[in-house]
Amino acid sequence: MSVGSAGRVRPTKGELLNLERRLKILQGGLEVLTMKKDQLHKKLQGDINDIINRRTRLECGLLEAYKALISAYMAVGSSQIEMQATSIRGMLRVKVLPKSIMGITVPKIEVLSKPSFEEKLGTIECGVADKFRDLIDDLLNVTENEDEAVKIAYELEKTNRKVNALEKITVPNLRREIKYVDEMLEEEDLEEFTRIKLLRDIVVRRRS
Amino acid sequence: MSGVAYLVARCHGLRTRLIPPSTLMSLVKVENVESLAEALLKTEYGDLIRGIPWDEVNGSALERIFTRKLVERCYFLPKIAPSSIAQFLYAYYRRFEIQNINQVFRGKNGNTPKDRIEMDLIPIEEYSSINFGALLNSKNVVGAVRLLAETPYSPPKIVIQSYEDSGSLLPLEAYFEKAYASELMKNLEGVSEDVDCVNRLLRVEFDVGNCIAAVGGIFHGLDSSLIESLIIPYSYKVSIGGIVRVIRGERSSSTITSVFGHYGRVVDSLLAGRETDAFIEGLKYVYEESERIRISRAYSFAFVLTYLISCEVERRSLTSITMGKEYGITPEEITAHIII
Repeated sequence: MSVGSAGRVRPTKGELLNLERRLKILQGGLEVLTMKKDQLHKKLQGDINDIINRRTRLECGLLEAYKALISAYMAVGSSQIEMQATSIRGMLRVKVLPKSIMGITVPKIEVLSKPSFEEKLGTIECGVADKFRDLIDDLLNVTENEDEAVKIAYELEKTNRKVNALEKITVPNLRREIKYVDEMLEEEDLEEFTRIKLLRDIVVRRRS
Repeated sequence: MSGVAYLVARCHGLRTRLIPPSTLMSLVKVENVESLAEALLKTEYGDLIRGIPWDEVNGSALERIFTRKLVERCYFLPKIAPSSIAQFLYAYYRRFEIQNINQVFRGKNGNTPKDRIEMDLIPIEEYSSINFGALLNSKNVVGAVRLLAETPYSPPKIVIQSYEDSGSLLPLEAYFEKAYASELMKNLEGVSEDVDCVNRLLRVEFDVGNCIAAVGGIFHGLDSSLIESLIIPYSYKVSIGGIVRVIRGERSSSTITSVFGHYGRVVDSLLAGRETDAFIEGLKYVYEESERIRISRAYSFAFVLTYLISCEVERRSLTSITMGKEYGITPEEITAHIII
Protein backbone atom coordinates (compact mmCIF):
# COMPACT_ATOMS: atom_id res chain seq x y z
CA MET A 1 0.00 0.00 0.00
CA SER A 2 1.58 3.30 -1.05
CA VAL A 3 1.24 6.78 0.34
CA GLY A 4 -1.14 7.49 -2.50
CA SER A 5 -3.36 4.66 -1.49
CA ALA A 6 -3.26 6.00 2.04
CA GLY A 7 -5.34 8.81 0.64
CA ARG A 8 -8.11 6.35 -0.10
CA VAL A 9 -8.35 5.29 3.51
CA ARG A 10 -11.35 6.76 5.20
CA PRO A 11 -10.01 8.98 7.95
CA THR A 12 -12.46 7.89 10.63
CA LYS A 13 -12.02 6.86 14.19
CA GLY A 14 -13.37 3.38 13.35
CA GLU A 15 -10.86 2.99 10.55
CA LEU A 16 -8.03 4.05 12.88
CA LEU A 17 -9.06 1.43 15.38
CA ASN A 18 -9.29 -1.12 12.60
CA LEU A 19 -5.84 -0.22 11.27
CA GLU A 20 -4.31 -0.38 14.74
CA ARG A 21 -5.85 -3.82 15.30
CA ARG A 22 -4.42 -4.99 11.94
CA LEU A 23 -0.97 -3.65 12.82
CA LYS A 24 -1.01 -5.55 16.11
CA ILE A 25 -1.94 -8.80 14.33
CA LEU A 26 0.70 -8.27 11.66
CA GLN A 27 3.37 -7.58 14.24
CA GLY A 28 2.46 -10.81 16.05
CA GLY A 29 2.58 -12.69 12.73
CA LEU A 30 5.90 -11.13 11.87
CA GLU A 31 7.32 -12.24 15.20
CA VAL A 32 6.11 -15.83 14.62
CA LEU A 33 7.40 -15.87 11.04
CA THR A 34 10.78 -14.55 12.13
CA MET A 35 10.97 -17.32 14.71
CA LYS A 36 9.98 -19.87 12.04
CA LYS A 37 12.59 -18.47 9.68
CA ASP A 38 15.30 -18.83 12.32
CA GLN A 39 14.23 -22.38 13.14
CA LEU A 40 14.10 -23.38 9.46
CA HIS A 41 17.50 -21.85 8.89
CA LYS A 42 18.94 -23.78 11.83
CA LYS A 43 17.32 -27.04 10.64
CA LEU A 44 18.51 -26.53 7.06
CA GLN A 45 22.06 -25.85 8.20
CA GLY A 46 22.02 -29.08 10.26
CA ASP A 47 20.50 -31.03 7.37
CA ILE A 48 23.11 -29.75 4.90
CA ASN A 49 25.97 -30.81 7.16
CA ASP A 50 24.30 -34.20 7.64
CA ILE A 51 23.78 -34.61 3.87
CA ILE A 52 27.40 -33.73 3.12
CA ASN A 53 28.62 -36.39 5.58
CA ARG A 54 26.16 -39.05 4.47
CA ARG A 55 26.70 -38.34 0.78
CA THR A 56 30.46 -38.57 1.13
CA ARG A 57 30.09 -41.90 2.94
CA LEU A 58 27.59 -43.15 0.33
CA GLU A 59 29.78 -42.11 -2.60
CA CYS A 60 32.79 -43.88 -1.07
CA GLY A 61 30.66 -46.99 -0.54
CA LEU A 62 29.27 -46.85 -4.09
CA LEU A 63 32.73 -46.39 -5.52
CA GLU A 64 33.94 -49.43 -3.64
CA ALA A 65 30.89 -51.50 -4.63
CA TYR A 66 31.18 -50.59 -8.33
CA LYS A 67 34.90 -51.33 -8.21
CA ALA A 68 34.11 -54.75 -6.77
CA LEU A 69 31.48 -55.33 -9.47
CA ILE A 70 33.84 -54.40 -12.30
CA SER A 71 36.55 -56.50 -10.71
CA ALA A 72 34.13 -59.44 -10.64
CA TYR A 73 33.23 -58.81 -14.30
CA MET A 74 36.93 -58.88 -15.11
CA ALA A 75 37.57 -62.05 -13.13
CA VAL A 76 34.69 -64.26 -14.23
CA GLY A 77 33.19 -62.46 -17.21
CA SER A 78 29.94 -60.60 -17.67
CA SER A 79 27.75 -63.57 -18.58
CA GLN A 80 28.30 -65.41 -15.30
CA ILE A 81 27.73 -62.32 -13.17
CA GLU A 82 24.59 -61.37 -15.08
CA MET A 83 23.15 -64.87 -14.93
CA GLN A 84 23.88 -65.19 -11.21
CA ALA A 85 22.22 -61.84 -10.65
CA THR A 86 18.95 -63.29 -11.94
CA SER A 87 18.85 -65.49 -8.83
CA ILE A 88 18.40 -62.48 -6.61
CA ARG A 89 14.86 -62.66 -5.34
CA GLY A 90 12.55 -59.81 -4.46
CA MET A 91 12.85 -56.15 -5.18
CA LEU A 92 13.61 -53.27 -2.93
CA ARG A 93 10.16 -52.22 -1.73
CA VAL A 94 9.66 -49.01 0.16
CA LYS A 95 6.75 -47.05 1.56
CA VAL A 96 6.92 -43.28 1.52
CA LEU A 97 5.11 -41.77 4.49
CA PRO A 98 4.49 -38.06 5.10
CA LYS A 99 6.26 -36.47 8.06
CA SER A 100 5.62 -32.93 9.27
CA ILE A 101 8.44 -30.60 10.25
CA MET A 102 7.10 -27.16 11.31
CA GLY A 103 4.13 -27.67 9.02
CA ILE A 104 6.22 -28.78 6.05
CA THR A 105 5.42 -32.23 4.71
CA VAL A 106 8.61 -34.17 4.06
CA PRO A 107 8.93 -37.82 3.02
CA LYS A 108 9.85 -40.56 5.46
CA ILE A 109 10.97 -43.73 3.64
CA GLU A 110 10.20 -47.04 5.27
CA VAL A 111 11.86 -50.15 3.84
CA LEU A 112 9.32 -52.96 3.44
CA SER A 113 11.65 -55.53 1.90
CA LYS A 114 15.15 -55.78 0.53
CA PRO A 115 16.38 -58.06 -2.26
CA SER A 116 17.28 -61.43 -0.88
CA PHE A 117 20.19 -63.53 -2.08
CA GLU A 118 21.19 -65.45 1.02
CA GLU A 119 22.49 -68.89 0.08
CA LYS A 120 21.70 -68.24 -3.59
CA LEU A 121 24.87 -66.76 -5.06
CA GLY A 122 28.43 -67.88 -5.51
CA THR A 123 31.15 -66.43 -3.28
CA ILE A 124 32.28 -63.67 -5.67
CA GLU A 125 28.76 -62.59 -6.58
CA CYS A 126 27.66 -62.73 -2.93
CA GLY A 127 30.54 -60.44 -1.96
CA VAL A 128 29.56 -57.88 -4.59
CA ALA A 129 25.83 -58.10 -3.83
CA ASP A 130 26.54 -57.66 -0.11
CA LYS A 131 28.44 -54.45 -0.81
CA PHE A 132 25.50 -53.02 -2.75
CA ARG A 133 22.87 -54.15 -0.25
CA ASP A 134 24.75 -52.53 2.61
CA LEU A 135 24.35 -49.21 0.80
CA ILE A 136 20.56 -49.35 0.44
CA ASP A 137 19.90 -47.77 3.86
CA ASP A 138 22.49 -45.04 3.28
CA LEU A 139 21.06 -44.35 -0.17
CA LEU A 140 17.50 -44.02 1.17
CA ASN A 141 18.68 -41.83 4.06
CA VAL A 142 20.44 -39.47 1.68
CA THR A 143 17.36 -39.38 -0.58
CA GLU A 144 15.15 -38.62 2.42
CA ASN A 145 17.48 -35.93 3.76
CA GLU A 146 17.99 -34.28 0.39
CA ASP A 147 14.27 -34.07 -0.29
CA GLU A 148 13.71 -32.76 3.23
CA ALA A 149 16.40 -30.13 2.72
CA VAL A 150 14.92 -29.04 -0.62
CA LYS A 151 11.45 -28.69 0.93
CA ILE A 152 12.81 -26.82 3.95
CA ALA A 153 14.85 -24.54 1.71
CA TYR A 154 11.75 -23.79 -0.38
CA GLU A 155 9.74 -23.08 2.75
CA LEU A 156 12.56 -20.92 4.10
CA GLU A 157 12.56 -18.93 0.87
CA LYS A 158 8.80 -18.46 1.14
CA THR A 159 9.00 -17.46 4.81
CA ASN A 160 11.84 -15.06 4.05
CA ARG A 161 9.77 -13.41 1.36
CA LYS A 162 6.82 -13.08 3.76
CA VAL A 163 8.99 -11.65 6.55
CA ASN A 164 10.62 -9.19 4.16
CA ALA A 165 7.27 -8.15 2.74
CA LEU A 166 5.86 -7.60 6.22
CA GLU A 167 8.95 -5.86 7.56
CA LYS A 168 9.70 -3.66 4.59
CA ILE A 169 6.31 -2.99 2.98
CA THR A 170 3.14 -4.03 4.78
CA VAL A 171 3.95 -2.86 8.32
CA PRO A 172 5.54 0.50 7.26
CA ASN A 173 2.58 1.17 4.95
CA LEU A 174 0.14 0.38 7.70
CA ARG A 175 2.04 2.65 10.04
CA ARG A 176 1.90 5.40 7.43
CA GLU A 177 -1.84 4.89 7.03
CA ILE A 178 -2.36 5.03 10.78
CA LYS A 179 -0.28 8.23 10.92
CA TYR A 180 -2.29 9.65 8.02
CA VAL A 181 -5.65 8.80 9.61
CA ASP A 182 -4.42 10.07 12.96
CA GLU A 183 -3.31 13.36 11.41
CA MET A 184 -6.55 13.69 9.46
CA LEU A 185 -8.56 13.08 12.62
CA GLU A 186 -6.47 15.64 14.47
CA GLU A 187 -7.08 18.15 11.65
CA GLU A 188 -10.81 17.43 11.74
CA ASP A 189 -10.79 17.92 15.52
CA LEU A 190 -8.99 21.22 15.06
CA GLU A 191 -11.46 22.30 12.35
CA GLU A 192 -14.34 21.33 14.58
CA PHE A 193 -12.84 23.22 17.47
CA THR A 194 -12.29 26.33 15.34
CA ARG A 195 -15.81 26.04 13.88
CA ILE A 196 -17.32 25.82 17.37
CA LYS A 197 -15.23 28.75 18.51
CA LEU A 198 -16.41 30.86 15.53
CA LEU A 199 -20.03 29.87 16.13
CA ARG A 200 -19.69 30.73 19.81
CA ASP A 201 -18.28 34.17 18.85
CA ILE A 202 -21.23 34.76 16.45
CA VAL A 203 -23.75 33.72 19.09
CA VAL A 204 -22.06 35.97 21.72
CA ARG A 205 -22.02 38.93 19.29
CA ARG A 206 -25.76 38.51 18.48
CA ARG A 207 -26.69 38.35 22.13
CA SER A 208 -24.72 41.44 22.92
CA MET B 1 56.04 -92.21 -32.18
CA SER B 2 53.40 -93.32 -29.66
CA GLY B 3 49.99 -91.67 -29.56
CA VAL B 4 50.75 -89.80 -26.35
CA ALA B 5 54.14 -88.58 -27.65
CA TYR B 6 52.44 -87.31 -30.81
CA LEU B 7 49.81 -85.50 -28.69
CA VAL B 8 52.51 -83.93 -26.50
CA ALA B 9 54.52 -82.87 -29.56
CA ARG B 10 51.41 -81.26 -31.08
CA CYS B 11 50.69 -79.48 -27.80
CA HIS B 12 54.21 -78.02 -27.86
CA GLY B 13 53.41 -76.69 -31.32
CA LEU B 14 49.97 -75.44 -30.32
CA ARG B 15 51.41 -73.72 -27.28
CA THR B 16 53.38 -71.40 -29.54
CA ARG B 17 50.06 -70.07 -30.85
CA LEU B 18 49.06 -68.80 -27.41
CA ILE B 19 49.46 -65.10 -26.81
CA PRO B 20 52.82 -64.52 -25.13
CA PRO B 21 52.88 -62.57 -21.81
CA SER B 22 54.64 -59.58 -23.42
CA THR B 23 51.82 -59.27 -25.99
CA LEU B 24 49.21 -59.59 -23.24
CA MET B 25 50.91 -56.76 -21.37
CA SER B 26 50.85 -54.61 -24.49
CA LEU B 27 47.13 -55.38 -24.93
CA VAL B 28 46.56 -54.05 -21.41
CA LYS B 29 47.77 -50.66 -22.61
CA VAL B 30 45.46 -50.29 -25.64
CA GLU B 31 42.97 -47.47 -25.55
CA ASN B 32 39.59 -49.18 -25.77
CA VAL B 33 37.70 -52.34 -26.77
CA GLU B 34 37.87 -51.47 -30.49
CA SER B 35 41.66 -51.05 -30.36
CA LEU B 36 41.87 -54.34 -28.45
CA ALA B 37 39.84 -56.11 -31.14
CA GLU B 38 42.07 -54.55 -33.78
CA ALA B 39 45.21 -55.73 -31.99
CA LEU B 40 43.74 -59.23 -31.68
CA LEU B 41 43.21 -59.43 -35.45
CA LYS B 42 46.87 -60.42 -35.76
CA THR B 43 46.41 -63.36 -33.36
CA GLU B 44 44.54 -66.66 -33.61
CA TYR B 45 41.37 -64.79 -32.64
CA GLY B 46 41.57 -62.72 -35.82
CA ASP B 47 39.37 -64.97 -37.98
CA LEU B 48 36.60 -65.07 -35.40
CA ILE B 49 36.74 -61.32 -34.81
CA ARG B 50 36.57 -60.66 -38.55
CA GLY B 51 33.40 -62.75 -38.59
CA ILE B 52 31.40 -60.19 -36.65
CA PRO B 53 30.36 -56.76 -37.97
CA TRP B 54 32.74 -54.10 -36.69
CA ASP B 55 29.96 -52.04 -35.09
CA GLU B 56 28.94 -55.08 -33.05
CA VAL B 57 32.37 -55.48 -31.50
CA ASN B 58 31.98 -55.02 -27.77
CA GLY B 59 33.02 -56.66 -24.51
CA SER B 60 30.38 -59.41 -24.56
CA ALA B 61 31.01 -60.26 -28.21
CA LEU B 62 34.75 -60.58 -27.61
CA GLU B 63 34.11 -62.64 -24.48
CA ARG B 64 32.08 -65.09 -26.58
CA ILE B 65 34.87 -65.25 -29.16
CA PHE B 66 37.46 -66.06 -26.48
CA THR B 67 35.24 -68.85 -25.22
CA ARG B 68 34.70 -70.19 -28.73
CA LYS B 69 38.43 -70.27 -29.35
CA LEU B 70 38.99 -72.06 -26.05
CA VAL B 71 36.42 -74.70 -27.03
CA GLU B 72 38.05 -75.11 -30.47
CA ARG B 73 41.47 -75.56 -28.91
CA CYS B 74 40.23 -77.99 -26.27
CA TYR B 75 38.13 -80.22 -28.51
CA PHE B 76 40.88 -80.47 -31.11
CA LEU B 77 43.06 -82.52 -28.76
CA PRO B 78 40.82 -85.62 -28.34
CA LYS B 79 40.83 -85.94 -32.14
CA ILE B 80 44.58 -86.60 -32.14
CA ALA B 81 44.78 -88.40 -28.78
CA PRO B 82 44.77 -92.15 -28.04
CA SER B 83 41.32 -93.32 -26.92
CA SER B 84 42.05 -93.63 -23.16
CA ILE B 85 43.52 -90.11 -23.12
CA ALA B 86 40.66 -88.79 -25.28
CA GLN B 87 38.19 -90.24 -22.79
CA PHE B 88 39.97 -88.48 -19.95
CA LEU B 89 40.03 -85.23 -21.91
CA TYR B 90 36.30 -85.46 -22.60
CA ALA B 91 35.76 -86.01 -18.88
CA TYR B 92 37.92 -82.92 -18.21
CA TYR B 93 35.86 -80.87 -20.66
CA ARG B 94 32.68 -81.72 -18.81
CA ARG B 95 33.49 -78.58 -16.83
CA PHE B 96 32.03 -76.71 -19.81
CA GLU B 97 28.87 -78.81 -19.64
CA ILE B 98 28.59 -78.00 -15.94
CA GLN B 99 28.99 -74.31 -16.63
CA ASN B 100 26.30 -74.48 -19.28
CA ILE B 101 23.92 -76.46 -17.10
CA ASN B 102 24.43 -73.97 -14.28
CA GLN B 103 23.88 -71.12 -16.68
CA VAL B 104 20.60 -72.63 -17.95
CA PHE B 105 19.43 -73.33 -14.40
CA ARG B 106 20.28 -69.81 -13.26
CA GLY B 107 18.42 -68.46 -16.26
CA LYS B 108 15.38 -70.64 -15.64
CA ASN B 109 15.42 -69.73 -11.98
CA GLY B 110 15.43 -66.06 -12.84
CA ASN B 111 12.86 -66.39 -15.68
CA THR B 112 15.43 -65.13 -18.17
CA PRO B 113 14.30 -65.34 -21.82
CA LYS B 114 15.57 -68.42 -23.65
CA ASP B 115 17.51 -66.38 -26.23
CA ARG B 116 19.35 -64.48 -23.55
CA ILE B 117 20.43 -67.70 -21.79
CA GLU B 118 21.42 -69.32 -25.09
CA MET B 119 23.62 -66.37 -25.99
CA ASP B 120 25.91 -66.99 -23.02
CA LEU B 121 26.21 -70.76 -23.35
CA ILE B 122 29.59 -72.24 -24.20
CA PRO B 123 29.26 -73.58 -27.77
CA ILE B 124 29.76 -77.30 -27.09
CA GLU B 125 26.52 -78.75 -28.53
CA GLU B 126 28.38 -80.87 -31.08
CA TYR B 127 30.61 -82.41 -28.42
CA SER B 128 28.12 -82.82 -25.59
CA SER B 129 25.61 -85.53 -24.87
CA ILE B 130 23.43 -83.05 -23.01
CA ASN B 131 20.52 -81.72 -25.02
CA PHE B 132 20.84 -78.04 -24.21
CA GLY B 133 18.07 -77.15 -26.63
CA ALA B 134 15.63 -79.24 -24.59
CA LEU B 135 16.99 -77.79 -21.34
CA LEU B 136 16.44 -74.29 -22.68
CA ASN B 137 12.87 -75.15 -23.64
CA SER B 138 12.03 -76.60 -20.23
CA LYS B 139 9.45 -74.71 -18.22
CA ASN B 140 11.45 -74.27 -15.07
CA VAL B 141 14.38 -75.64 -13.06
CA VAL B 142 12.54 -78.78 -11.94
CA GLY B 143 11.56 -79.48 -15.55
CA ALA B 144 15.20 -79.03 -16.59
CA VAL B 145 16.36 -81.35 -13.79
CA ARG B 146 14.00 -84.05 -15.12
CA LEU B 147 15.70 -83.79 -18.52
CA LEU B 148 19.02 -84.66 -16.90
CA ALA B 149 17.63 -88.02 -15.75
CA GLU B 150 19.66 -90.17 -18.13
CA THR B 151 22.90 -88.19 -17.76
CA PRO B 152 25.72 -88.38 -15.18
CA TYR B 153 24.31 -85.20 -13.68
CA SER B 154 20.92 -86.52 -12.58
CA PRO B 155 20.64 -85.24 -9.00
CA PRO B 156 19.10 -87.36 -6.23
CA LYS B 157 15.67 -86.43 -4.87
CA ILE B 158 17.12 -84.93 -1.69
CA VAL B 159 19.07 -82.34 -3.70
CA ILE B 160 16.01 -81.44 -5.76
CA GLN B 161 13.98 -81.19 -2.58
CA SER B 162 16.62 -78.92 -1.10
CA TYR B 163 16.30 -76.64 -4.14
CA GLU B 164 12.51 -76.65 -3.93
CA ASP B 165 12.59 -75.80 -0.23
CA SER B 166 15.12 -72.99 -0.37
CA GLY B 167 14.88 -71.76 -3.97
CA SER B 168 18.68 -71.82 -3.94
CA LEU B 169 20.55 -73.41 -6.82
CA LEU B 170 23.70 -73.90 -4.75
CA PRO B 171 22.88 -77.51 -3.70
CA LEU B 172 22.24 -78.46 -7.34
CA GLU B 173 25.42 -76.72 -8.52
CA ALA B 174 27.40 -78.40 -5.76
CA TYR B 175 26.01 -81.75 -6.84
CA PHE B 176 27.03 -81.17 -10.47
CA GLU B 177 30.54 -80.12 -9.41
CA LYS B 178 30.89 -83.27 -7.32
CA ALA B 179 29.57 -85.45 -10.12
CA TYR B 180 32.08 -83.82 -12.45
CA ALA B 181 34.96 -84.32 -10.01
CA SER B 182 34.19 -87.98 -9.36
CA GLU B 183 33.74 -88.71 -13.07
CA LEU B 184 37.04 -86.99 -13.83
CA MET B 185 38.94 -88.86 -11.12
CA LYS B 186 37.42 -92.12 -12.33
CA ASN B 187 38.61 -91.39 -15.86
CA LEU B 188 42.07 -90.51 -14.59
CA GLU B 189 42.46 -94.17 -13.62
CA GLY B 190 42.43 -94.99 -17.32
CA VAL B 191 45.42 -92.73 -17.96
CA SER B 192 48.62 -94.72 -17.72
CA GLU B 193 51.12 -91.87 -17.90
CA ASP B 194 51.90 -89.13 -15.44
CA VAL B 195 48.96 -89.93 -13.20
CA ASP B 196 50.69 -88.38 -10.18
CA CYS B 197 51.29 -85.01 -11.81
CA VAL B 198 47.84 -84.83 -13.42
CA ASN B 199 46.24 -85.93 -10.18
CA ARG B 200 48.15 -83.23 -8.28
CA LEU B 201 47.15 -80.53 -10.71
CA LEU B 202 43.47 -81.48 -10.63
CA ARG B 203 43.48 -81.70 -6.86
CA VAL B 204 45.09 -78.27 -6.44
CA GLU B 205 42.11 -76.92 -8.37
CA PHE B 206 39.70 -78.78 -6.07
CA ASP B 207 41.64 -77.48 -3.04
CA VAL B 208 41.25 -73.90 -4.19
CA GLY B 209 37.54 -74.42 -4.91
CA ASN B 210 37.03 -75.96 -1.47
CA CYS B 211 38.96 -73.14 0.18
CA ILE B 212 36.77 -70.49 -1.46
CA ALA B 213 33.56 -72.42 -0.76
CA ALA B 214 34.39 -73.05 2.92
CA VAL B 215 35.97 -69.76 4.01
CA GLY B 216 33.77 -67.67 1.69
CA GLY B 217 30.68 -69.52 2.90
CA ILE B 218 31.57 -68.97 6.55
CA PHE B 219 32.38 -65.30 5.90
CA HIS B 220 28.97 -64.77 4.26
CA GLY B 221 27.15 -66.65 7.00
CA LEU B 222 25.94 -69.62 4.98
CA ASP B 223 24.41 -72.53 6.83
CA SER B 224 27.15 -75.01 7.79
CA SER B 225 25.32 -77.98 6.24
CA LEU B 226 25.07 -76.06 2.96
CA ILE B 227 28.78 -75.21 3.06
CA GLU B 228 29.58 -78.85 3.74
CA SER B 229 27.52 -79.86 0.71
CA LEU B 230 29.64 -77.51 -1.45
CA ILE B 231 32.88 -79.30 -0.58
CA ILE B 232 34.29 -81.54 -3.31
CA PRO B 233 35.58 -84.73 -1.67
CA TYR B 234 39.00 -84.66 -3.36
CA SER B 235 41.96 -82.75 -2.07
CA TYR B 236 45.70 -82.36 -2.26
CA LYS B 237 47.12 -80.13 0.45
CA VAL B 238 43.93 -79.34 2.38
CA SER B 239 42.42 -82.20 4.33
CA ILE B 240 38.70 -82.66 3.91
CA GLY B 241 38.44 -83.54 7.62
CA GLY B 242 40.10 -80.22 8.47
CA ILE B 243 37.69 -78.30 6.24
CA VAL B 244 34.73 -80.02 7.87
CA ARG B 245 36.12 -79.19 11.34
CA VAL B 246 36.38 -75.51 10.39
CA ILE B 247 32.91 -75.48 8.88
CA ARG B 248 31.44 -77.10 11.99
CA GLY B 249 32.79 -74.40 14.26
CA GLU B 250 36.52 -74.78 14.96
CA ARG B 251 37.34 -71.34 13.62
CA SER B 252 40.35 -70.22 15.62
CA SER B 253 43.00 -68.56 13.49
CA SER B 254 45.43 -71.40 14.26
CA THR B 255 42.97 -74.02 12.97
CA ILE B 256 42.23 -72.00 9.82
CA THR B 257 45.96 -71.48 9.23
CA SER B 258 46.76 -75.14 9.75
CA VAL B 259 43.94 -76.27 7.46
CA PHE B 260 44.21 -73.68 4.68
CA GLY B 261 47.83 -72.56 5.25
CA HIS B 262 48.95 -73.71 1.81
CA TYR B 263 46.52 -71.30 0.20
CA GLY B 264 47.14 -68.36 2.51
CA ARG B 265 46.68 -65.68 -0.15
CA VAL B 266 43.21 -67.01 -0.99
CA VAL B 267 42.14 -67.15 2.67
CA ASP B 268 43.56 -63.69 3.47
CA SER B 269 41.68 -62.13 0.56
CA LEU B 270 38.45 -63.88 1.55
CA LEU B 271 38.72 -62.77 5.17
CA ALA B 272 39.36 -59.21 3.98
CA GLY B 273 36.10 -59.33 1.97
CA ARG B 274 37.95 -59.29 -1.36
CA GLU B 275 36.31 -62.31 -2.98
CA THR B 276 37.45 -61.50 -6.51
CA ASP B 277 41.06 -61.24 -5.39
CA ALA B 278 40.64 -64.60 -3.66
CA PHE B 279 39.42 -66.11 -6.91
CA ILE B 280 42.38 -64.66 -8.84
CA GLU B 281 44.83 -65.83 -6.18
CA GLY B 282 43.28 -69.29 -6.38
CA LEU B 283 43.81 -69.36 -10.14
CA LYS B 284 47.40 -68.25 -9.58
CA TYR B 285 48.01 -71.27 -7.30
CA VAL B 286 46.67 -73.57 -10.02
CA TYR B 287 48.72 -71.79 -12.67
CA GLU B 288 51.89 -71.90 -10.58
CA GLU B 289 51.49 -75.65 -10.07
CA SER B 290 50.77 -76.04 -13.77
CA GLU B 291 53.92 -74.10 -14.68
CA ARG B 292 56.04 -76.20 -12.31
CA ILE B 293 54.72 -79.36 -13.97
CA ARG B 294 55.10 -77.88 -17.46
CA ILE B 295 58.79 -77.25 -16.87
CA SER B 296 59.55 -80.52 -15.08
CA ARG B 297 57.39 -82.80 -17.27
CA ALA B 298 57.72 -81.10 -20.65
CA TYR B 299 57.65 -84.34 -22.64
CA SER B 300 54.92 -86.30 -20.92
CA PHE B 301 51.13 -86.33 -20.82
CA ALA B 302 50.99 -83.79 -17.95
CA PHE B 303 52.19 -81.19 -20.45
CA VAL B 304 48.88 -81.56 -22.30
CA LEU B 305 46.95 -80.61 -19.19
CA THR B 306 49.24 -77.63 -18.56
CA TYR B 307 48.54 -76.53 -22.15
CA LEU B 308 44.79 -76.71 -21.48
CA ILE B 309 45.21 -74.70 -18.29
CA SER B 310 47.23 -72.10 -20.20
CA CYS B 311 44.43 -71.89 -22.79
CA GLU B 312 41.91 -71.30 -20.03
CA VAL B 313 44.13 -68.74 -18.31
CA GLU B 314 44.57 -66.92 -21.62
CA ARG B 315 40.81 -66.72 -22.05
CA ARG B 316 40.41 -65.34 -18.54
CA SER B 317 43.20 -62.80 -19.05
CA LEU B 318 41.71 -61.61 -22.33
CA THR B 319 38.27 -61.38 -20.70
CA SER B 320 39.79 -59.31 -17.89
CA ILE B 321 41.45 -56.96 -20.37
CA THR B 322 38.24 -56.65 -22.41
CA MET B 323 36.05 -55.94 -19.39
CA GLY B 324 38.68 -53.58 -18.01
CA LYS B 325 38.71 -51.63 -21.27
CA GLU B 326 34.93 -51.64 -21.48
CA TYR B 327 34.65 -50.06 -18.02
CA GLY B 328 37.63 -47.72 -18.35
CA ILE B 329 39.85 -49.41 -15.77
CA THR B 330 43.48 -48.33 -15.51
CA PRO B 331 46.16 -50.63 -17.00
CA GLU B 332 47.63 -51.17 -13.50
CA GLU B 333 44.32 -52.46 -12.17
CA ILE B 334 43.82 -54.68 -15.22
CA THR B 335 47.31 -56.11 -14.78
CA ALA B 336 46.36 -57.16 -11.24
CA HIS B 337 43.65 -59.38 -12.77
CA ILE B 338 45.96 -61.06 -15.26
CA ILE B 339 47.68 -64.33 -14.57
CA ILE B 340 51.06 -64.57 -16.29
